Amino acid sequence: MTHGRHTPALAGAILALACGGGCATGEYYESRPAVIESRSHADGQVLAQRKLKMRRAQRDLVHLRATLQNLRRHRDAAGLDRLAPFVRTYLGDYVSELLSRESGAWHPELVPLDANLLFAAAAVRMELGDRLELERLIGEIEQRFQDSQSLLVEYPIGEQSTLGQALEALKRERWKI
Amino acid sequence: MAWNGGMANLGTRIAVVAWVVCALAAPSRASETWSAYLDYAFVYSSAEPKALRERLEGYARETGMTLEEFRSDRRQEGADPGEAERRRLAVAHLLDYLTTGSAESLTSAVRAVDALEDRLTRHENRYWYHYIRAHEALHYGDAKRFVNEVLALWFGVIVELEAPYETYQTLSLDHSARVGFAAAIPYLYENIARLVLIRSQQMGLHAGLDPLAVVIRFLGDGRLGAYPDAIPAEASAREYLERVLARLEGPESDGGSLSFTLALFEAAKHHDRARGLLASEGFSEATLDAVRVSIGAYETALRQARTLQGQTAVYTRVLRQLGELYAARQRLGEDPKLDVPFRIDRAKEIFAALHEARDGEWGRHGYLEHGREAYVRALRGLWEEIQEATFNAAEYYLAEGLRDGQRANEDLNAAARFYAGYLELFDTYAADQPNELVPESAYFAAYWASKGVGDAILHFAGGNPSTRQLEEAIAHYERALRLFPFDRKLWAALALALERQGRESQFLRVTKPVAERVARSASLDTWIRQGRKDARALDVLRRALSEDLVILYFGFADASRLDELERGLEELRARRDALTTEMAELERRLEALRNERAALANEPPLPASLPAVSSTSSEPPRSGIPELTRRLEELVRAQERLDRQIEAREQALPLFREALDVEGLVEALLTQRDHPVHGLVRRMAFESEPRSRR
Repeated sequence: MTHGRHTPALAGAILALACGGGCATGEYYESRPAVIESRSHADGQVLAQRKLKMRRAQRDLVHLRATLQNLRRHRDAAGLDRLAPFVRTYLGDYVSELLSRESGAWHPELVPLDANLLFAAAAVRMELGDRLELERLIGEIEQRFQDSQSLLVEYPIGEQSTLGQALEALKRERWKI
Repeated sequence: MAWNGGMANLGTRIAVVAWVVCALAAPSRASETWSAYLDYAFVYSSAEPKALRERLEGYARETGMTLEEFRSDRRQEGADPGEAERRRLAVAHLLDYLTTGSAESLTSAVRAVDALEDRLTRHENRYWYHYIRAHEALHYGDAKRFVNEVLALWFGVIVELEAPYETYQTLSLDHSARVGFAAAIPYLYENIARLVLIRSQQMGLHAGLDPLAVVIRFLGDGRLGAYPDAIPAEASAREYLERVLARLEGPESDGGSLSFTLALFEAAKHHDRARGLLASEGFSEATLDAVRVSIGAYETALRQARTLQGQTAVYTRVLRQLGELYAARQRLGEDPKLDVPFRIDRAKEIFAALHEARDGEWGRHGYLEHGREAYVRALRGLWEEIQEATFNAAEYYLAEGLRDGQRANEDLNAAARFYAGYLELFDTYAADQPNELVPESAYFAAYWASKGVGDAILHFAGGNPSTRQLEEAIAHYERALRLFPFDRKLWAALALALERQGRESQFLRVTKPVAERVARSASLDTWIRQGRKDARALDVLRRALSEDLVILYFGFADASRLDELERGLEELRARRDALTTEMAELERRLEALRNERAALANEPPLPASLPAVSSTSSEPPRSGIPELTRRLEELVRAQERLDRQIEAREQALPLFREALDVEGLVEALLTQRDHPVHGLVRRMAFESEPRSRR
């Protein structure tokens, strides 16, 4: 039994597709014009996979935020110290990859997911007290969605509001850090 | 949760792979077969030790080589065994540790897996690396390392494998043996869940687990148990995880602390076991051990509680156990030595602190995410457990006190103290005005406690309490009657207490205001008119209390005297009949006399000498008309009295009989905290005159 020793070519191809050729760590949030690109190879399965990953990441960020909040309310500094590095790495590697528009799997259908993921990431950064990263995310949201202020997003966490309102709320709350 | 069953697909696959290897290889290649089994150890490594041992023994029989022989065989190989062999050896050591608990095997596993540090790019290596080190951290009670290893496992392995697994699954490739370690994802979820939820508790790691709450939340979000094709629902830890999550996120949490939640779960498990043993074996040694373990587990949970929310959750449960123990003592007549470090008074302090926060600070004590409703529910729940534990304790001591033993007075005192303790709580928070933080059953409970104090005092000093004590008992009975006037026996208890003081004649004067309040109660009237729960019984009692005679029956009669009372009524009727007969006779005689007198008046005057009267006449001396008239008037008055008595009794006795038939209301309210009549009792309490505090 030698499973895992030689990744089959098919699986490799699937992995490559899933990563969209952009699995290498890149800039967290590339400064890109808010132009929605549609690429033929981003359709179908890969798009479905990307949506799934983005939705899951958004939900996971909500769980992360809840746990960080609990630890903070408990004044559990040791617990926060233990969890925070993993969360920062997760945001910096995995989430940034999902938010990247360089990944080749970009599609208009991803816009609402993109917005929600950005807000969820911002909420976690706020909980971590990562002021600079939060500012970068706010800038990213402003840049990407300057023409989509009425888009419905899940922010504050657990509620729904228009992107414009959500952004205002986020800007107000950043001073709590 | 048996881990041994299910997993049909991978189990079959392992068997097939093993069979193929066996068939192709000579018996001397047994270690290679073991290698195949070890490559799939992620499927079965979380099994309970017994099941795991049986599985490994089965593999040993199939291969003709024990796991120990495999480990020894691999250790003796001189050359660098290579990445896969190092991993398999590490897994083999781990499996031995998991079945035997051998620290030496664990150390060997760690040493073997550490040798893979330069090969951690492979997810499979990385998984076992962190998984084995997590076990090591658990073994040595190192929460910090355990948390780090599990987080590394999640973020370093799971996150990276999930997306490929989803892809394989979409393409129906997840059952292919060639898709790599990603296919293991459903099993890895189970292993991590069991490691954190079960193994950590078995190994006694109760603190410092809170950062892992996020892993539990991840697992609960469409991951654990989401692949029934791989792991059937009955073999998954999903159900347990859901219960833990519900508690973690729910109002009985400690601000989302996983350590607390798991500790409380453990305590509840031990409590359930102790309760079962208590029911089946009484106070056996096994029961006492289970109770001690359970109490210890509650102590552990309490140590983890950083918020009043968490402390409330612990006390709500531990008071239940206290109550169960007192109830069992009373039922079984045994008083085993048990040190219980939890005090009802501490629960009252927690209630007081949370009550103090009612105007907005309650969120600070842990209820912020669950809202005020959860805060109110928690406080009411705590009150109810204080109530129940107090009464169980009090009733145990009261029963002991009534046994007339040497310690009777001491026990009666203890009973009275417990009841009075409840009344003190009641007076502080509930007596003056409706309080949403106090359950509706508190008012009925206050009646029960007042009655309890009265009962304890009445039996004090062999049933001869001092005058001052009797006064106190009477005052408590009166209060109990005001709070709950529907307990017939309570009226009798009050009458007895008054009788002991020589004041039985005052019974009606003392109780009449209570009866009048019942008659006037708008809440009761509405309740009865609307035909709500027990309306008929309450109507019977209300009508009964509207009759003074029935009130007197309540005080001085009981069911056993009903026949006597009915016979008494018959006697009265008989007496009235006799009177009627006598009156008729008197009237007849009067009439005759009057006639005689009239006849005499018409006769000629009498001769000068009267005829001799025979001294032997059998005629009785006849009364004169005045005497007969007086006698007749007396009889008329007597008949009127009898008529009044008969009329009253004819009205009262059926009511009394009906009231006697109303049984079970007190018992129903005692046993059902959510009985609707509790709400009525509470409303009626505030229809009465305001009471002074304490």
